[in-house]
Amino acid sequence: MNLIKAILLSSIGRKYIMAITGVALAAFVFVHLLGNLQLFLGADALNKYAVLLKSNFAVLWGYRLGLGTIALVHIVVALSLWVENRAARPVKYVVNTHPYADFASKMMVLGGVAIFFFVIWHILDLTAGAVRPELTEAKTMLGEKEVTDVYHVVLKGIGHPIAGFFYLVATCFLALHLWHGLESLLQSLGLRNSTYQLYIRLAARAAVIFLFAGMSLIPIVCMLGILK
Amino acid sequence: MSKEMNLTLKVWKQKDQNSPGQMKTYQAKKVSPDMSFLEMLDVVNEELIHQGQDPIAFDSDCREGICGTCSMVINGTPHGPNKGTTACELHMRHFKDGDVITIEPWRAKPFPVLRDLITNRSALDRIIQAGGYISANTGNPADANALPVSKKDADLAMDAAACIGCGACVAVCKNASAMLFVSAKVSHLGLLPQGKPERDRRVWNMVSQMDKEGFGNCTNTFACEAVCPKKVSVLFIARMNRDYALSVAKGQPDAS
Repeated sequence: MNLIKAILLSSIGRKYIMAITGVALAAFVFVHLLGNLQLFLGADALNKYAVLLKSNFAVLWGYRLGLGTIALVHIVVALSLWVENRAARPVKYVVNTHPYADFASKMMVLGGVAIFFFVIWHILDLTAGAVRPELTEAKTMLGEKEVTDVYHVVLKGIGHPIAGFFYLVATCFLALHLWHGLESLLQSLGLRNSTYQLYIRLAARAAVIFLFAGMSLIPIVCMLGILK
Repeated sequence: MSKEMNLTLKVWKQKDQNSPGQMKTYQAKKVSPDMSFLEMLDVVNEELIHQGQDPIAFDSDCREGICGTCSMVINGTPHGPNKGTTACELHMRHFKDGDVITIEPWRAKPFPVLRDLITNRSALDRIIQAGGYISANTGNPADANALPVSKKDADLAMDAAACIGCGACVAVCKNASAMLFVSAKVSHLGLLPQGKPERDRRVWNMVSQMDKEGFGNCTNTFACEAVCPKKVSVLFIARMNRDYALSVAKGQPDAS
């Protein structure tokens, strides 16, 4: 009972949950990006990767449900912390600027909400094919087999100017979220100290810059119609 | 002779804990740049008392930056614009003639306003009572080097012990979190051999009390470190997060 209280109800315990679920979600984002960068290796490479991801029903759905659960926990715990944080200052300051907190840290909740809605749309659109069904019906031949032409789904789906714009905006929000989050989670887990703080900051920022560059490259390339 | 200044003060006025308050404007005339911020308020108050008006109530004690009693948010910054100083160490030379200065009390649910700029900060005392001490009776002070403490630990403990418990970290935090205060207290005892035996229990009990008081949660904006008059480092918060995890992992020490 005390363990539950220590982890689920205490302020520090819930920050651990935020950090650990955050690591898992960030790891997914990086794997997702690396997978999608195979776009530049050509249609066959990406389509083969797509087939591989969907090859085992149990693994696929275990992965999806696991990831969904982690995201849900991240959101629910974040909201519980946010509600408490709001309640901790019932009377606001007249001069209420928070100049000492950096921009990224102030954008965590708003950015998180934006990312949430983007991800829902992203899944409905490109994974489930609910928004633009004609998009995900495209088939192609991979060797002997007929498979979904993920390569052209991505090119057309993200290449659409409005969709591409949303992808770029979402990438900005995600990069900002991780700019604060990646460094902050090590502080929350108590793994930051005077010896490592500089390396942690540099590594976190390098990772975010890589992510931002990679993730904005895809919609830009698709929108410009560079790949065929 | 340095030039005298005339300033406009916008100050939070509140009769008592249960009354609503509002901002009220005062004129501070012929303010010397050599005055401290609190001396400036003293002069304004003398004038107000002369006129038969209610003076501005504010907390102060040592007026040399070591007691942590003075507590006012000056233009949105606890203890004012100067880094590493308390409001009593802030001199009027940091302001210009004609400035409008907004002065507010600490704002946090656990710090109810008692009157004007005075808040009740007993919540911090209750956190200390929950574990911010060493319970072994050690008698008279021991010889200086009877108990070996490494220079590194001694310095670090001293950095944490510099916390004067003023509550500026809570006041500036966008979440009104007390993590910097609690982490300083947890660390300064936990680093020393006298405090180590109770280290696990201490962090558990103090964090539990902190949560009970209704402070917000840390979102690592590090605003606390930026305004701390004693420049206590946020690395103590990381240290406390680590201590708390170890305390939980070892099995929760007796919950009192």
